Amino acid sequence: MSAPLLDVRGLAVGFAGEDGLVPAVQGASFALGAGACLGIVGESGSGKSVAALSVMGLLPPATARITGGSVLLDGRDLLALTPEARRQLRGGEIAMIFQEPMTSLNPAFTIGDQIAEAIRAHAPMSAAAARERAIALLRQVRIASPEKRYDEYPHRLSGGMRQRVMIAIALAGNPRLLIADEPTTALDVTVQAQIVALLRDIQRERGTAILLISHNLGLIAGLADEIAVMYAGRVLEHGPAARILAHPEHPYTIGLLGAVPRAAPGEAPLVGIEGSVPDPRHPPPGCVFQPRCPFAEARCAEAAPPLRALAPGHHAACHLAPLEPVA
Amino acid sequence: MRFLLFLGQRLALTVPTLLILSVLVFALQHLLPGDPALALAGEDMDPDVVAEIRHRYGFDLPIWHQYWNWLLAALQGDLGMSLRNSMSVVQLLLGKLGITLQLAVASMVLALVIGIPLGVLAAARPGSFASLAASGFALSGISVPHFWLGIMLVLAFSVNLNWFPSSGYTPFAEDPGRWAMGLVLPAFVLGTGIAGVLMRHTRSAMLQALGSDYIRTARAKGLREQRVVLKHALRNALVPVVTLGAIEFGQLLSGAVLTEQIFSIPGFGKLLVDGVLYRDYAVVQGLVLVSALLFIAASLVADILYFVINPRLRS
Amino acid sequence: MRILALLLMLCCGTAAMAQGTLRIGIGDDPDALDPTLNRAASGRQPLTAVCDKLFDVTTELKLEHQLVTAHEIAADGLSVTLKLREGVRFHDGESFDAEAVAFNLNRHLTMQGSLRRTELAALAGTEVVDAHTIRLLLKSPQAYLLLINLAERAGMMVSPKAARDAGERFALHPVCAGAFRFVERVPQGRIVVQRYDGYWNRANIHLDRVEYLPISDSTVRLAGLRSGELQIAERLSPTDLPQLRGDARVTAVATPDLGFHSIRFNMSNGPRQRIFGGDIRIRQAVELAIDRRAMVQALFEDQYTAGNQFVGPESAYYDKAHPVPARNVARARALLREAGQPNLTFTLLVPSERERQEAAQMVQAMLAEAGITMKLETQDNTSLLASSQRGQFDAVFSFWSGRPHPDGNSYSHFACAGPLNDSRYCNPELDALLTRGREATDEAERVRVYQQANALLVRNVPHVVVWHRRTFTGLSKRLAGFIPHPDSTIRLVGLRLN
Repeated sequence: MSAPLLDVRGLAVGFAGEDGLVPAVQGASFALGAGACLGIVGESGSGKSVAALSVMGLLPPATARITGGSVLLDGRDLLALTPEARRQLRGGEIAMIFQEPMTSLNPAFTIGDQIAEAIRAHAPMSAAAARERAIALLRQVRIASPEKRYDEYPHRLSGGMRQRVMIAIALAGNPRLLIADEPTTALDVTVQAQIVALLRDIQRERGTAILLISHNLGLIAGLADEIAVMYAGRVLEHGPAARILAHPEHPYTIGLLGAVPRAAPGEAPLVGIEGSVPDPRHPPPGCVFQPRCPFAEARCAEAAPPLRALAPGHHAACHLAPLEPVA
Repeated sequence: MRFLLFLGQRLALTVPTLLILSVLVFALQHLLPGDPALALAGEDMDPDVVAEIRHRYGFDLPIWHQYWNWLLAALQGDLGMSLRNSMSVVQLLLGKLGITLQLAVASMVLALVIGIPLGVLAAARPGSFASLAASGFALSGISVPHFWLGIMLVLAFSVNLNWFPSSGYTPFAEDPGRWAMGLVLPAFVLGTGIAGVLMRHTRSAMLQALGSDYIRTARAKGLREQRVVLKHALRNALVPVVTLGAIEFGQLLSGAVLTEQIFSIPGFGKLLVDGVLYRDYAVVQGLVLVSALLFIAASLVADILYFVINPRLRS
Repeated sequence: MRILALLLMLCCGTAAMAQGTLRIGIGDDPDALDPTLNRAASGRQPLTAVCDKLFDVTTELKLEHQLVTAHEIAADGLSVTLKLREGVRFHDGESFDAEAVAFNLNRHLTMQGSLRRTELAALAGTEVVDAHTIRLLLKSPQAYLLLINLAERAGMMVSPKAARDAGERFALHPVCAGAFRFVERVPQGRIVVQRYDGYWNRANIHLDRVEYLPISDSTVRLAGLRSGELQIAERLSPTDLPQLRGDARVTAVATPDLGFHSIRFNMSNGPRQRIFGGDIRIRQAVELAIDRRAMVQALFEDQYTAGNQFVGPESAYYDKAHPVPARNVARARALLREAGQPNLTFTLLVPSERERQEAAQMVQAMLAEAGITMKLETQDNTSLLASSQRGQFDAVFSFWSGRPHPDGNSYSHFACAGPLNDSRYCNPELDALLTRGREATDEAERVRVYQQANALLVRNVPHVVVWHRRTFTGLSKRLAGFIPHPDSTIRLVGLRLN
């Protein structure tokens, strides 16, 4: 891959708690090329959202502490920038949409006003010009009658439409990187598909890189070029999407795939992963997954396995990888 | 349309409310011990004069009869006469309405100008010195008794520094400068109490707003923090604060008894106290009704404001 | 910087405005400004400025001429001939003459709501002799008393034309013949009067404009004086005085007040008379347990005067043979034992006014030392008036504002038919004395009669006088020519603002 657009190296983030720092991300690394889509998958508490917020610079300043690593955008370390510099990138070069479209828009202002505000924050122009551009954006995110919708308040729109508005806001600054944190989780299945299609079109037509974060492997599978699997603040496996989905190497990834409901019922039964995510303050010794790993051996508890290349671009952090294919 | 219906309902409720209120106040006043004829008869207490007064003002009639007479007259716009100084109650009230309004508006403006920014500041920088100072100010504004504060201010600023008049009210037409100066101290006394309340409500409403998802969106747009706080958060925080402010304003319209007494401002508060003490029935009756009307109007305005500010209510 | 300049300009501007204007802070907002209808004492202040009277009283409480130039009491005491001042005009230009006087006296007697009838009770009618002579006809020979009463609101003369034209609304804009004409009134705000250029004594009026400002709190009234907004602050309390000592801009003058504070016993008004109405020893015991001088010292910075009669010790009518007694707790206890009431318990009815509240508490403590339990019951003024009249009290803490003629301090309160005699104390011997006092024209006789009356009251103890106030008036140093008066009314003649 040529120099990636986004290169996260060894990111470590913790939150100030009563008894000291609670780690949320511990040495996570992943990269995303320009115009590509990276899907970060993991269950709740894996640290994926925190990692995304770190890239955006939206961690709560009162409690969050970045304890290590770097976040390189086009080679520039964002973590080393001043808050003012980071603010200027936000909404401009890097944009983000969130999980709860129902509450993510300000109920006191029209949606048009909120989109125009995002436009004018990154490109000085008159109110009339911003209105024109906002209407165009609304059209792009497939909202019908955009001129009328411009003057409506958020409470008049459905969840799916609000998420489209959020996407329009995100696109207002012509971002090179769009971070989508669980964009469809709160939406109906039919609407989900529409949003996915929209994101795909955006990636293709505008060449925007997408960092897609979800616990939903199916969603990731539909969009991502590359996949990174996070667990307990660490990246356990990453590589090209097709390869990961067909030949997962890390037991956790295998477990996730096994736990995905398939379209045809009656086939392989759902296999859940036993146990739960460890307390970040008291991680298990050695490999962080070994208490739940069906393949765990003694050495798994002695030393934490590093991320090793198993094939070009495909890395996994497991002592036992590569696994023998089961016939 | 739905709102107009709501407005109509509220206005319709006003009439029975005022009627019931008038009966209650009338009854309460007459339950007070003491013979008003004696109070009006002068120090010498001539028995003939007492009897004449009793008859002339109808004190010898049964209560319901007295009330009925009052009601009939009131419906024709005559609220009776002040027993103390023979002025028509309507005239008295109209004359003092302006003064009461001026003091109420001045106090409210001061309260808004002090309370809301302090509340915003305290919410935007929690735990900072500014936030602690604002909390301290709010607490003292609410707890410090008005009469003590008033007299202290008079001693400091009028007697020693001569910046403001110590008491009294000067009409604007007569001397705008003195009019303004005369309102500063009493407005300050009244305003700081309300500022404290407003500050606390603003702060908690702001904190709630700042924790909302749409604030995260605003920050994600890359907006300046100042804009996030003052446009996105404050706009939503104002909703409960404005309605509270309207209610407080309504209370101010009933007159500020202690403050008017200390600063000798001839507003509703002083009129009410004197009216009750001297059993000036017609004055108290008229005043309570007018105050109630003003308060109802203020809460109606609060509802309208709430409707205007909160787009979610518009169908 | 500009704001500071603006502030300076405003405050200096307000100071400059005061030069032609005298601003007086009074304690209460007056009621109707009509001499016939005016009720409370506070009304005397603005009315004195606007309405001249037939007579006035001097600081020694002697009769003085104002709108009258000469008077002659007939030998039988049943008529008085008055010679009226010539060339006097009312503020509306009408002439002041005998017809006007007749109109006014008739108005005081017959107008509905008139509160002057008691003062003119002795007046039967008037007889206009000529334009400037009028004869007053009396029902009983109380000439001197009547004339003294004509030195107050009962003697104020209003313009008959204005009174007829305005009818009931006259009180909103009184038209009289005084040194100042009425300009405007803001209820509870202020009363403004302006110099009347046609005043008969205008040579002695040096003020353009006077404003009366009711300020109920005496501390704020004093503050207004000290800040320069007021030039006179009436009725300061003794506890305010120390503030004045260090302040070079203001001063205070004091005069003995005409009234008295007393604890009145229920002698025969309803069932509650049984505590005090029967045995004089019980009343004497209460009196002996009270230390008046200590009270005055402790509560009033020793500025008031301890008293025991209905006039103060400096008054000519005071019976020197019965001075203020010293406290004697032992004797009080003995008397109670003799009367069979060693643990006397009673309730004192007190108004919510501060001075009497504090005094009552002190009395309570003093009586306790004599074994007497005194409970306090507080009522507001209006309720107290009613309770007092209906006899719903054992003892009540009263205040009487005082009148220049001793009859005003005694008859209503102690005569059997006196309207203010809530005690219902009835002593025919006293009644006879008081009636003689009313009719006495000769001063020496009058003095003798009232001294005897005082002696009688002291011996019978239907009430215990505790103190006589002194009135304190705060004055700006800019004010010259102020003469304090025992009736606390501010007279504007001769006053000058520097």
